[in-house]
Amino acid sequence: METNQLRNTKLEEEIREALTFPDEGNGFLKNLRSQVLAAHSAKRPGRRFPQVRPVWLGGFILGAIVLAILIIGPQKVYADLQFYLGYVTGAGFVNTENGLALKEPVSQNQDGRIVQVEQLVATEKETVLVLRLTGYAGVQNANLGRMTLNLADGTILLPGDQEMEHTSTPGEYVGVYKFNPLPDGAKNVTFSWQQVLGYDPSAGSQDWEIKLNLYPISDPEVASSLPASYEISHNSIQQQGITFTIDQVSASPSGLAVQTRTIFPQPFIAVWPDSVFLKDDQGKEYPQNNMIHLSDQGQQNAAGITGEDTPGVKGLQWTFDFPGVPLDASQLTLQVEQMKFMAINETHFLLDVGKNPKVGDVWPIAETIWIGETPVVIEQVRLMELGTSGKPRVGLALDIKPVHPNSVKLTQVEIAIAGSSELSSFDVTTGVLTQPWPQGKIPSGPIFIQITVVSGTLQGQWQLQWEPQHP
Amino acid sequence: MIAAAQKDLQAFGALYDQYAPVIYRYLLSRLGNIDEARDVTSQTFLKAIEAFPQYTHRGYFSAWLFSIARSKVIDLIRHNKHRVESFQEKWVDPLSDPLAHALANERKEALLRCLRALKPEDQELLRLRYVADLSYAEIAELAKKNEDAVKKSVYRLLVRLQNQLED
Repeated sequence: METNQLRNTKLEEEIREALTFPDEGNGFLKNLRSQVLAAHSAKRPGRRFPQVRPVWLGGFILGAIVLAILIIGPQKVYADLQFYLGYVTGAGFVNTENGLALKEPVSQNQDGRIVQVEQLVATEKETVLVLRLTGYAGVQNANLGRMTLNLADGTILLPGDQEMEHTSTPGEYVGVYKFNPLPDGAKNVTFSWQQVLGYDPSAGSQDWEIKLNLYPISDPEVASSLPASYEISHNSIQQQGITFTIDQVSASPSGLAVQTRTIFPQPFIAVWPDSVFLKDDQGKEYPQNNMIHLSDQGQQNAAGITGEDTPGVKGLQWTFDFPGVPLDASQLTLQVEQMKFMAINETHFLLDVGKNPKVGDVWPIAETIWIGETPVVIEQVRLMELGTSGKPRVGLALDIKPVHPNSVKLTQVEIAIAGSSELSSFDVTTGVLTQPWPQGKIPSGPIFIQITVVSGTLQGQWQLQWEPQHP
Repeated sequence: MIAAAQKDLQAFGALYDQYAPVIYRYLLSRLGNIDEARDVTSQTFLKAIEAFPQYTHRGYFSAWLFSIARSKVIDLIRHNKHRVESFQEKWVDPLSDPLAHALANERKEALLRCLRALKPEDQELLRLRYVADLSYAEIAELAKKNEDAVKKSVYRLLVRLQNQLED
């Protein structure tokens, strides 16, 4: 009997065939190539702002470090670079070996709204601005309005890109912006912002001007406020088929950032840490700072991260921010007690609901299915009213329970039902996302049911310990 | 490759070689007309090389290129309101067994009917995935959606089509 996977591959090929027109157009494409390249003569582009994603920045910096070590000598370079190379919260890992930075954040308050320049790091390659807004109602889009860095000689720098990352919680916003490098010798910069206070033009605007004095990173006062990053030994643990790894830790007096990775096999499509705790050997627990790193949420092939060929295995990177760790802490423990997951499941079955099914009918199933290494049982299927607004609807709900409820909890099971063209409806009580029927239009006889995506949490103790390094 | 091409637009040729057949294949599928597909392919790459020096490489180059192609298709459709997007009607059939041939044709006809009945955005999703061979990540960037949401959508479409074909 054909497996679902084989059937899908065959169907995919059929779809490809159905949608493809049989004209290669080789001659046409060849001619067009000449036209396209001839349309514009080769020219030297204007100086462009280098665009680097934070997650790639680490790789680039690593290459620079290796080269520097080879030229200068390992020990001295390693000590110097380690001191300066670190994770700037919001900006990611930043090479701050040569450049300028603030000694401390600078802020301004207008009508209860506070704009704070958390950090401005100016290197030969770029200028990175980290901005925090507080006192705003709801999420503010900081792209509203003109934001610039102004220099004394009249030079105005515009952001070379839109915001790289941001986190926003009610009343607070953190954005990171990149600008071109500052001109040589520029150490005094004014952050200027003509901020529009909302999407509605009648919301008004507010002008901000914050003077910033930059100092060399080699200045002890500046250096002491910048983070230093390091790797830990024994940085990986596997449970329930999920590998949790700490890639880098970055420490400064004001904060600790831990860059982690989860690696998971098929059928999982996403696994990420939930319930994360940081503790030290004194028993103190450190709360997470509420930062979201959008670059973390892109799923990457594990091969791209580990360098190994691991087909069917994916990885997700997550960075957690904590307050600074005191100097007397000699051991840190990062503990993950729960991982959230989404997994594809191709279980399907034919359910005969009989001639006149009605709300309340129950059909026992008692079949075990697997989500990775985790068994769950489909106990029964019920026909129930769905709590959707508008016209009354009914749908099929699966009572599906894990065999080991202490190690896994299901939060949502998505099913597809043949013959239903309605949008899927999620029932909070059962955790089943099902495709409903209007009352009075319940089908009879055999119904094909397919479980498509299962979401839940894996319980465990992914725990990693290390001796902290202090800047 | 992209950085090199931005320094020397002649190196754009390597990008063209990689993406032109894919864009053409996609446009042919989308428009169902060779002349129109060639016209829009030309417009796409002429626009791309014009805009290329200002291109900011973040994510997938294919998403940028496909967004140009799709906007050119929209321009064409707006210009010619009476045109109808079509599907391929004929296959090159490799089967030699007459009965298998007949059954295969019946299935193909059924699939065509099912594809025609899909919403345009669902047809487009299948076209990007199976004609243009874009990855889920590329499609997600092009459609400005979450990659998992794109995967789910494609998966649901496959399930639905399979169920319809088996009915």
